[in-house]
Amino acid sequence: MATPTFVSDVDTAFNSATSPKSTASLSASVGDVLIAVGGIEAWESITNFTFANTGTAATWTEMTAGGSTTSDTFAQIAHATIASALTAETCSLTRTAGNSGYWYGMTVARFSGANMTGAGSAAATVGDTTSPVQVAVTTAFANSAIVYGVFDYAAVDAPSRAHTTVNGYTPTAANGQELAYFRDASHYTACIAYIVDAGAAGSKTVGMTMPGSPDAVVVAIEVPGATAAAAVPLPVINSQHINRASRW
Amino acid sequence: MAIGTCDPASRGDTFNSGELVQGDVSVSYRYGWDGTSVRPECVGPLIRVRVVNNSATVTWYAHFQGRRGQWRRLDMPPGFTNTYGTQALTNAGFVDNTDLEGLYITTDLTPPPQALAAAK
Repeated sequence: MATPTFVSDVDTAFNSATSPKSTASLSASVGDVLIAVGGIEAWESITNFTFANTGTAATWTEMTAGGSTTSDTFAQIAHATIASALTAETCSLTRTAGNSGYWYGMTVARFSGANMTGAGSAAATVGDTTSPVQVAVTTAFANSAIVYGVFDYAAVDAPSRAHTTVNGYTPTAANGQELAYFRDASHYTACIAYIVDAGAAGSKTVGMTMPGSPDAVVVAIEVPGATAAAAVPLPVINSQHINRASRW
Repeated sequence: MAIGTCDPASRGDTFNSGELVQGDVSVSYRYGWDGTSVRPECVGPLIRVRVVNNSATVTWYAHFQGRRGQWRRLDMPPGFTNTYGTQALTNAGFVDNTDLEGLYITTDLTPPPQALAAAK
């Protein structure tokens, strides 16, 4: 199966409590897959976010969600396959409950050549004092990409963070595979990244190092490549034509 | 939980701080405390904002929606690094840390349209 192609990403603001909040504008072609990773600094009574987009509404499928310990950070992933092209539209994330003063944010990554049917996802609560903060996600297909997000209620500052290497790929801000990093000492830390090609199907551990005492949740989702195109069938000779020709 | 209160001294720090990194671009800031606000809605005087654009070709813009919904912008041409102190931020229309909220980093000169509508 071919590896999906990362095309671009857009973000909402991470440092505000405004709800709903929207990303910068993005465009997407029919068949593209959008992966949305959202998280909020404190969990409280939140059980899910609401994901949406402007333009022709896509069907957003909410996958894994998780909260860190003691109702702290909450994070969720959703995906949508674009059925009608989007041009300069935005995606939105709505907080459904909880303290209206808590900050939250979302990154939306666009992939082409992806097919989300059967994709794996996972969430893990890391808890206090554990580094690296990681989650194991089982990929169902070979050569899938993996998108993941780390949200830390302890607001640990991780300027020298190191992402876990998967199949030789290590996201960094410099190589563009770390999509966003945000941290405010009074609120939370958020980091969203992706693995280009996770290699053979199976359990993959993604995440990052964080100094100090993080209190984090990590969510991840597999982005499988589109099924390889069916082999072109050998041309079939129309026997009727041959029969006719034989008469000529 | 996030350590302490809005008072940076409760964390053993001399200032509150934050940072957003997106690819080639980073925006970091420091601010104080007004002495009365409480988490999660801290308010404090701005100390500095530092912007870095490591791209050699792309101009980026930092759009700040602000808690009150009034957009402000800092421009980052290719290779641009700058630190804005209190006076420079005042001149650019920033009053306190709440004006830094709702930060978008984009290549668009204008703020995100949907976010703009939400601010009205």
